[in-house]
Amino acid sequence: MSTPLTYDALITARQQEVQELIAAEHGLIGYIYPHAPLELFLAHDFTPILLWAEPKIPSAYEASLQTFCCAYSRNLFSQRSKERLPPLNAILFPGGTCDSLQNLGDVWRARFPDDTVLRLTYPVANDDMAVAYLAEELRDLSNHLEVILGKRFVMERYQKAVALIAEFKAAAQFIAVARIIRPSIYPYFEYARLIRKFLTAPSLNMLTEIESVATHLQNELRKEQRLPTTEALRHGLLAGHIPDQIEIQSTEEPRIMIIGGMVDPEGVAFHFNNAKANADLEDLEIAFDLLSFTYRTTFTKAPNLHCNPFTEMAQSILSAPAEPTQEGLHSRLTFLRRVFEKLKIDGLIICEQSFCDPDQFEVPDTLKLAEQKKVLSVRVPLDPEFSDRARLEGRIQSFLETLTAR
Amino acid sequence: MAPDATTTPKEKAYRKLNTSKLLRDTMTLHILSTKQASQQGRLAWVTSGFPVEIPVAFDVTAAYPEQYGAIVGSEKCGPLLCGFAEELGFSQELCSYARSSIGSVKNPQQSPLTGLPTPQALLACNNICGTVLSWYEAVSEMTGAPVYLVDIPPLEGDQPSHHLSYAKSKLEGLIKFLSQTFNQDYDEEKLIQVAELSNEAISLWTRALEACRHKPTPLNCADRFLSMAPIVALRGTQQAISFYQAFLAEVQDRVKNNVGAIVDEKVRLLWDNIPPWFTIYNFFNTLAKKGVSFPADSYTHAWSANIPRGEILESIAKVYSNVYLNKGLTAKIDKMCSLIKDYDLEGFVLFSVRSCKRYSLGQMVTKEEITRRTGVPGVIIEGDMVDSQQYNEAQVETRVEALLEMIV
Repeated sequence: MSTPLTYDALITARQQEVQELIAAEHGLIGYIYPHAPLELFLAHDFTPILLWAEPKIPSAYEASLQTFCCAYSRNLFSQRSKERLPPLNAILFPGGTCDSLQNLGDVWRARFPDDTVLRLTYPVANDDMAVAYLAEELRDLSNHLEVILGKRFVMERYQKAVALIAEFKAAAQFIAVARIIRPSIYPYFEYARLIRKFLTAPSLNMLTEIESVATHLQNELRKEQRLPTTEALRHGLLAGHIPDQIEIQSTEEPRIMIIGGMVDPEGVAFHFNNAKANADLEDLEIAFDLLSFTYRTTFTKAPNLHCNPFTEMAQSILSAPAEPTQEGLHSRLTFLRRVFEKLKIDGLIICEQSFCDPDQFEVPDTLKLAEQKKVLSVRVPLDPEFSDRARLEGRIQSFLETLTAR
Repeated sequence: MAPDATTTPKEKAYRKLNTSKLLRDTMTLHILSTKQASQQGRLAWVTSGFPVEIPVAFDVTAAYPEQYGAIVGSEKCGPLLCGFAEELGFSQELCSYARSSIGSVKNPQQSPLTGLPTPQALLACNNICGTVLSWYEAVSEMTGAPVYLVDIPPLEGDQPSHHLSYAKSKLEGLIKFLSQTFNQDYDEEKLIQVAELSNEAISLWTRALEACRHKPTPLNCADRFLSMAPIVALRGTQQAISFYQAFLAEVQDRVKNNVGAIVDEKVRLLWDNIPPWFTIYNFFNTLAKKGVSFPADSYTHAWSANIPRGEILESIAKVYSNVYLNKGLTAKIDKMCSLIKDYDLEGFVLFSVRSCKRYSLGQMVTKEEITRRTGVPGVIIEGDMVDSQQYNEAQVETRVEALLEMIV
């Protein structure tokens, strides 16, 4: 699929796709925070649906939420008010991740009393006691799913779910790393689209599509004798570091990275593509991203099947890398420094969603680090309802032109 | 607003507390002690809902950036200090306590009291909001002081055992952190003594708050917001007890003699949220001239739970897990409804503080639900606690006037 010409066309195409993806599904649970326990929902015979922001939704939150609620929360609330969300059996709100989403769950319950609102509260720390705590939260959630929605946890389904999600992550990780090694090997827009489709409705069909792309890229890199490096980098990133032996080959094109939180990667890619087309820089590609719904989701370790499912899922969730809703700014900055150095990043696009505290707090230190490492950076406001998209693309275009002129 | 006809031009509509001077002296001594502690390498910056009894038991002095934010606001230099943080790249959309604190670290010479003294540790507890961790981690990058987070996840309803175990484990971790950072052994007996001192101060403070059920109320909102300084900053010390003994005596004396905080109390309202520090006197005293008092508020009642007897760390974990900001919207609405009933209030003002999402998001639902349950009207006013650029005085005045018209 090539990039649609207009943003409206992209959104319309996506909406149709979402309808098709979920049409055959029964028993849907919507979720918002990227680190939801997908395996648990599938084990209870529910399909987890990531609720994406809808850019064209008319505003309908003002009677319930103030404007300083985060843009993503406001957008979801408007979607629900306008009855534009899929027909959900329940919706999962995260607790303990940020104040907007914490309170949104309470407001949702009050305003939509007929909705089944579930809550999974996450610890901010990541130690053995945090795992134990989250495991019990997951067990409670599982009990709720059985008692309230009448579907019990089935181990066989859980095992299949673990395999499905693990294989998706492995394939997605490979594509992401292949793109770091050689960004032109596969368009970022297509990568973001694959992830978005799988998270919209995880299925074997979507897994097959992603795996076939990964296999194709694997063959390409094998021919180029870059497969060992690619795998070493993938394993390193999964362990939270970049191995010393990784050497990225220098290219004429600047290497660009995107950082941000719960923004829509496909939307970012769309604007990036338009900006580079306007700048007549068609060969430029995004090399790497640290976004919530791509990197932070797919590089979260999969649960293994040897131990207690709830403990394993908790360990999996808390292994999410570079996650600003968890403690550890200093280690995230250390990792970012390493990324800048080892992955030879030249330019950084910082995507900001308004009133997103966890991400906004990290921007100054990120900017400072970029400056120290001589990485050119630009801040891009990217609210779902952002209306002046031409200006946004103009901002990225100027950035790309400056970067290539260096 | 014009003065009410019932007050003479010479007589102020509100009465200053005699213990104001003692409060000022107590807090001045505290500020001096934080400077000394910093020089001695024993100062921690601490969030307002932190289980401070534990660092106090380690002879670590606590300084409160939120309290410093109140000073910044009162000194009307919020926009200046927030601006320093914005120059570093911090968004104007972030908490103004955090921005002014970060701004003061960047430019102490241009900050009130030349900023808070340099900390040797940053102690955050996220039972009041999620922002504190990001804020303290940002300060840590600037100062090099290590952060310890007492992670107490939000609760829904009663505290389950796994939540209590987790919170307690974070307190055990805190003890290890303090032992290592300040090179001192943990003394459980000392912690129990500090907790007892804390309980005594909280008990005195709570009795003073409860005295405001009396008509006329002996304390108005600004009185409580200023007088809460020791309960925030000096919990677990004898200084807090000494202050609140004198404070309670004055409050009881006012009750006994039927002396109100304002001269002519006609309307009794509830206040919700942190106040706009930069206009705290102006706001409440202007209303006092109209006979409007605020005998209760949701904020200063947050420090009202005693640490129960029993295993000390478990007791502390229970108390600090169950602060109502950590318990969701329903708990907050329940609390406010009970304050309206217990203090016989006729309306309520919800201050929608742009900086404080945890406290403010949900106020529209809160307003409707409180009125439905209690039958009293309320109003939402908008602004910020430190950043006066986010506050429109005329708009606030119009909304409060509209509320008063509904009541009177």
